[in-house]
Amino acid sequence: MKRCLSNTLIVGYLSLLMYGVFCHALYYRINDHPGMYFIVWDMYCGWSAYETRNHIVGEGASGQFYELAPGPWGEMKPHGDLDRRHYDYNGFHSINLALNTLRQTEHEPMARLYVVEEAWPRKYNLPDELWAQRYTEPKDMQSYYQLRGTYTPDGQAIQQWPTLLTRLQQEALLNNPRLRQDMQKGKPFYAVDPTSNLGNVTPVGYELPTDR
Amino acid sequence: MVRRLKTRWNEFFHAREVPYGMALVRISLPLVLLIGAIPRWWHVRELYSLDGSPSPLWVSYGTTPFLPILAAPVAVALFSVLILSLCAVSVGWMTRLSLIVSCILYAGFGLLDAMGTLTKYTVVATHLMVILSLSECGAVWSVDAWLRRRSQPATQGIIDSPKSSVWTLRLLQLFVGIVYLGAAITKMHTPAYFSGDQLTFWMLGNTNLENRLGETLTLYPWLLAIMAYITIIWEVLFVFLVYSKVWRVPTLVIGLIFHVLTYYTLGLIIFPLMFIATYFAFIEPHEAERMAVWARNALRRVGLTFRRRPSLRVPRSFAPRPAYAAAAWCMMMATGAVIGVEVEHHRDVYHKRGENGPLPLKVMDSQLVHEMLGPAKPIRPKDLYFAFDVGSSNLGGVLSNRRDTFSYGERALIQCSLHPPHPDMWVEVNLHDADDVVLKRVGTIVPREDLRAEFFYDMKEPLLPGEYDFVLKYDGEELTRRRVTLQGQPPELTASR
Repeated sequence: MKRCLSNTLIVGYLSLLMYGVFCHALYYRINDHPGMYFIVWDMYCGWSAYETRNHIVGEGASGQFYELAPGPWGEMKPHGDLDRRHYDYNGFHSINLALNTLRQTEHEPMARLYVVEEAWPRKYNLPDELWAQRYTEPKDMQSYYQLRGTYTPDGQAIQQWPTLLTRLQQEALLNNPRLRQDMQKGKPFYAVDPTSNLGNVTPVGYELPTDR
Repeated sequence: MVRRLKTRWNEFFHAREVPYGMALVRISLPLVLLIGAIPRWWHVRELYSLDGSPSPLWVSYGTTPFLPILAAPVAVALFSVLILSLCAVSVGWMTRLSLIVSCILYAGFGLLDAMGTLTKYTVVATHLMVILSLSECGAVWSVDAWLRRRSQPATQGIIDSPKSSVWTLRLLQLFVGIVYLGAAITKMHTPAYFSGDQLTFWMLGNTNLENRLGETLTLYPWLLAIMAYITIIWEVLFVFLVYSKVWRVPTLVIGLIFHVLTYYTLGLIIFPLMFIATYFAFIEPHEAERMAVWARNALRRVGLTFRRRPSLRVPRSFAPRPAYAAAAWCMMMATGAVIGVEVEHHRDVYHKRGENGPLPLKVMDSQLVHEMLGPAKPIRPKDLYFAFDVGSSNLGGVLSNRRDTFSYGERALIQCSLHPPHPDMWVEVNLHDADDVVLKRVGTIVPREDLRAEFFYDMKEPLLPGEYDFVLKYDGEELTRRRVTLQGQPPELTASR
């Protein structure tokens, strides 16, 4: 009986793991359910040539701007030297950080909340001595800022825009006027929910910030 | 045929041996996980509770919540229990129960914070704890084993270490192999992996710990291309080679080197340590016994001794029973939880109850904010290129030698690597003489899907020996230049002498 049970567990567990490998290899339903995160081994699946950081800004009724993450009580660095807010690559949770900071602090009434992405090419991360070995020109780093979302003080999305990398990809493609015209045809009136931005599909209305 | 398969299956999964390997994994894994868990205890309220800003995984998947977000005191109490139960697992006290509690809480807290807690190492650790909880990993080298020995009648004499079926050990070993296989599939899905580009940009990233070796290696992209192939071959073959008598040790040693290198090149810490801990599962019982003897001798040399077997002296009037151990375990967890809640409450994470509380918000520089919120700047042309190198050969699609001196008649290979995403580009590499006079212009289209362009220049007549510059231009603007020296004598001049 005990051996029968252990054989069932062996077969069941190995089948589950192999199902994960199968789904991963053939891109089959890998984003269906959070449970898939536990059987799909896609470590380091993405990469970027740009280093990114997130900034969460509150605009007070007086016009003063405030830093909403990290909160004034300090940073939380989960994996190295970076604060937790910088690990929200898709911008799903940044607004929650802002709302928590507002709940826990004393402040004037807010007019708007903003989520901003900062990016710079990763070559500028090279230490100066290594930079000198590879480049002849001086290091001249510049950050590029990309507004990701504008929110009401209670966290309702007013407008949302893609990441800098998506913007650059779109700009490269949208040099085609016909394509640009086709995309404008489907632009909705309301801001779309960022959670619908799954996989590689860009929801309609989530394209370039041409009108901000 | 079926009988033979059944025999092989039983030999593989149901052989009996002393679970030293599993015990070593049980001892080391929680210690590794505590490296990440203890610092998070100070932020439980913020990360996992209703009084903070949890970032549950289901939001990213767009599914309905399947776990409650806890009130802050409950989250703190449970996280305190998690830390204590991980310690209990490591020492092997109420091992199975501690493993079940650790596994549930570890996965649960991970699911509540996709931003700062949940990573693939959380998932791997969850699998490992599930397997360990099914095993007899607490049967040796544990408080449980010690208590069991003490509860034996003193007259029973020396007790053999208990043997158990190896099916959980095999599951753990196969799990490690399957994770590597999955990692290899991920790499196969990433074309930029094989050219070393993916590794290059990960090594240049600052999202983990400092990784100076990784940054240095980005200067040698050909080396990264070779490492990429070695890694993927090893990952695919691991699960097959690790059971071979000949290849077991080399496979594990390569794995060990690979994981140690991920610390120095990528700045990872918990992930490599955790996988190194799982390698204990591949140690044979006789090797573990040798290690134990060596450890005992080493302890003796520094003056520490301990008895492995129960004393055959007078029977003890008090021998701890399993029920006492369970009660003590529950007491410890409850006490730990209460102390945790109390300490966290007094700590006042948000500084709301202090003299100056609640804290005011930090004011931002309005000029910086206007830059952030203003119109998005176009990417500068010089930020579109990643590297511009001159050499004479390539390996794996990348330049394998950087040179600044050429002999007469040699061919210079100039490679321009770009930062993706970039537009379709017309890129020129022009040859200038020492007086900056353009001698030759060469250009090519680099489509948006390509990461590099290559140019060739034959360093021969009509060029004369001297210094030259290769100048990279895009959109009419010079981005950078590399100086080279042409040495030797032109053939005509040599002939005329």
